[in-house]
Amino acid sequence: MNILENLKNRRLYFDGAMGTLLQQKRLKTGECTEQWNITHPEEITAVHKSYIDSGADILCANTFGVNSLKYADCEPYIAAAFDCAKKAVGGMENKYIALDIGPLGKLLKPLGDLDFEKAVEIFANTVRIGVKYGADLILIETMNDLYETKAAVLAAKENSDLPIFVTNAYGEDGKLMTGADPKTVIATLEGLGVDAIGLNCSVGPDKMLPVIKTYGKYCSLPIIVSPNAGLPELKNGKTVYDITADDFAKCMQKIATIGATVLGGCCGTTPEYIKATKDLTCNLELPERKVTPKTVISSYTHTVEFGDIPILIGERINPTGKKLIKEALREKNYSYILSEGVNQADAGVHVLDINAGLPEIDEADALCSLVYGMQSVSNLPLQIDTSNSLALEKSLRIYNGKPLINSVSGTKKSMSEVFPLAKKYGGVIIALTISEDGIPDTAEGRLAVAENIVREAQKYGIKKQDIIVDPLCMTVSSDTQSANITLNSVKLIKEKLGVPCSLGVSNISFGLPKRDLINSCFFTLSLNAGLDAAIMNPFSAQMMNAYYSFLALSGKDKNFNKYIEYSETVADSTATVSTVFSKKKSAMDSELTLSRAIIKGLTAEVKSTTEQLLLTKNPMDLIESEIIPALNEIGTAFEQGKAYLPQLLISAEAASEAFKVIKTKLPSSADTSKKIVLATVKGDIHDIGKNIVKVLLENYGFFVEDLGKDVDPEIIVAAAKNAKIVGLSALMTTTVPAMEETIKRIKETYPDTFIVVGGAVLTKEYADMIGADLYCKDAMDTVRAAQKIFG
Amino acid sequence: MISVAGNLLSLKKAELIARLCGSKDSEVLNKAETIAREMIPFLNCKYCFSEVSVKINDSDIDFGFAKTQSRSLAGYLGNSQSCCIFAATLGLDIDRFIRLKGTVSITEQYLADAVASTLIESLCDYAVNTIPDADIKRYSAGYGDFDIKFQKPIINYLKKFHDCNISLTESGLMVPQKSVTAIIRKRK
Repeated sequence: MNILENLKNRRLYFDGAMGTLLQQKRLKTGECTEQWNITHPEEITAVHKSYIDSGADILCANTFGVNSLKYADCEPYIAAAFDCAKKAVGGMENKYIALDIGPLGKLLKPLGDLDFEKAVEIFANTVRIGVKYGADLILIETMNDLYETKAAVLAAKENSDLPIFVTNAYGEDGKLMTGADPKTVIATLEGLGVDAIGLNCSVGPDKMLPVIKTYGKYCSLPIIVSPNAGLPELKNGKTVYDITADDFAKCMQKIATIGATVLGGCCGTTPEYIKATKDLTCNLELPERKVTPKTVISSYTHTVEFGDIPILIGERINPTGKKLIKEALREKNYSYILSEGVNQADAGVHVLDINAGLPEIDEADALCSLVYGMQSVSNLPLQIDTSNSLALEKSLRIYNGKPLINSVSGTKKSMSEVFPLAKKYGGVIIALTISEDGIPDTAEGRLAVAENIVREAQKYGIKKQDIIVDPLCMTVSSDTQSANITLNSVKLIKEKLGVPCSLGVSNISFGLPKRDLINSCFFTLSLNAGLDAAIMNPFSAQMMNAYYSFLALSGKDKNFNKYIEYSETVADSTATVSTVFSKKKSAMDSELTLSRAIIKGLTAEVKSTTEQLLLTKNPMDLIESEIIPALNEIGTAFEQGKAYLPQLLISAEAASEAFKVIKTKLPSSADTSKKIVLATVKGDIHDIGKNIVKVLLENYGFFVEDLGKDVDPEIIVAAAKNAKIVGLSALMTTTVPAMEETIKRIKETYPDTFIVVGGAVLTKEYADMIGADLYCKDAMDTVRAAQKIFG
Repeated sequence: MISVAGNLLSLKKAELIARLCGSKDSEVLNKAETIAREMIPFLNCKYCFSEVSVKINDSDIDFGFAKTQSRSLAGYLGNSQSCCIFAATLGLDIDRFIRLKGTVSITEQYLADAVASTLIESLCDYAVNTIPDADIKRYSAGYGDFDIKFQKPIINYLKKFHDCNISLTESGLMVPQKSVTAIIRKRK
């Protein structure tokens, strides 16, 4: 019988540890267990047989540590592993052999240095071989990183039709090593469509109970639990564990009543543990678990649930109507865009919308860079906002967690493009009430479109709880009834369809002056109509005032904690006094020259002074007469040891603020004639020094293409094509060879490119040895070098 | 691994100034202290250690789980017959915090990095005080002629007995970045 069918009717039992038993059979220190598949197959078969005899239904083929990072050719180990397991099963019915996939031992980017797609390919290789040798299911286990788990699941889905079971290893804090809590893991894995999930390893069954209870409450799939036999300690040169088989089994009995239907053991467990567990649990009735369907998205650490507190989705990362975002996208200056995201997070949004829709750029590339970049600096869930199906697919693939997808409409084309992607990668989808005939002008019409979308989604296996309906706000300036229609649509859809609703609230006021007045009032009305999520501007005080006031008035803010905390950030209503005061203060500060303000690092004053001066002065004059002299003064002080790096940085950032203001007055195009490429070389993931150099070079008018860190030589060579200077940094002696290789490749292709190197580990002698043209000891040195080279 | 509350760590001024390239500017130091306070919720400080026997023959050192050659490490260990294998980390969220700071301000990122480097040293000092008979001086791979690649066997060994979530990149950088591994001799 198929294992999933079997699982509907009874509890199933995994085997226990392999390594523990092989150590008793004198597995040598440092010897990998999978090597015994080939050198001692009879011992492996004997271990498997002992677990079959103890009552195990599922054997894990001895393939946990087999992957192409470790072995050039994995096939012999996997083939031998299945041979051993099959001999133990000996044709018995309802016994299953799992392809056992463990972690790769390397952290994925951006935390580590393993590329996501590389991880997928490594796992895919293992899966293909496992399928070839007759695996009945795939077990992805002991994963302590959600992203690596996703890579393994995608590899399994894309290379087999086998059932996929996943167990993660939680720390004592109840989270994965990379921060995901159990609800996040559950949401992500259910979104990916695996067949059973749970936890294994790290701790004994007693310490697993809190996490298991969370699984019991939120997980709609069968739950797997395979604990260790407690904690290990070294006694007389041997590793022993501190929980006996009987105590283990008693705890597993509790776990079974919570709702786990697949039970097994991990490190330290033996056939005795499995037998004891089965004896105590096999006759227990399968628990009836009723899991309430919820609309949930996640980042890589936590979930956001729709339907309780209204959710704020920050709308600011969108090039429409935003000159600076457009420029940043064209120049691939993603750090500016990411800072917009971080600032919105600080302003209190729960989710960030990411939109890179600009016709003249590669939207898929930009969107992926932003999704990846945003997830490396913020742990907020993201709303992936695109109508480009390639961009959607690529960004869903690399997203770490379960995203919000904006959007699908009720047209056949849209649904046929979006639903398969959402089904494959997981996600909650915003459904716009647009049909082939356009946007209905009644609430009933929009409800009908929404119902059709939900029905169609279910044909793709997408559950109703993974749909949020957006009944659309049309501007009242072209139809005075549009606000009422939208509000009525929200009420009707929630009542009749029972799904959450969202709106892009600020659309309501398009074409009208003082838009925030209308937006904030409409926002309150929408919230009162039952709105569950709003795509909005969190920097609008009026919108945020409306939000927190609504929470307080509607009973959604217990003890008014949120309101009170928010109110402390709001300026007092005697603001006229403080406004006058701050105007007076500005007047005083304008006696402070722009130069002085930059040197002192007074960012706010720099901004206001620059704005004032630009009313009467030409931007280029301002740069030449105020900004550059200030930078030169602090730069010289730094070179003379009279100022230190922090002061240099503070001034540089203040100068950057002035440049930001000036940029709004200058023509859009960036001057690429003074182009410098910067990169931290392959293998090195430190970039602070390089970032400091970048800020200073930009202040001095150079156009910097920052390739980031851990950059392949080919990418640097390609970027060097139109660059007069390439700057390379490395932090460790182990990464200097990569620098040497990169220099060699640049010189072969573009011999006239000037190569400047720097970093903690480098010296002039080393730089000369590896073929660099120049060694710069610090950021200021690099600026002087660039000025000399460009002349 | 043993957890340590972030607010038990101290930000030693001299150490911080050294990491700020000598800057004693009061505004900079105040800013660094503010960042240190912001950092506390992101700290997930942990350490672990295991005592092992050690056999030293000139510059050949055998820890049982692995061997190495290092005259300087042999000098540090002297005639010890056992020592501690040690690891400590501020956790992955500090890496994210530092990266986050970089999107807002390069100065804050630089300060955050310096503060975190100071705090990991403070964690090591705190941890070593809890290890019976341990010398306060530590010896890490990469010091003297002690091969930096020995970080790998240290981490692999500690992983057997502790929830040691430190890994190494291909080029030998530790992740989380604010982590330390070390050999610690017995106090003389």
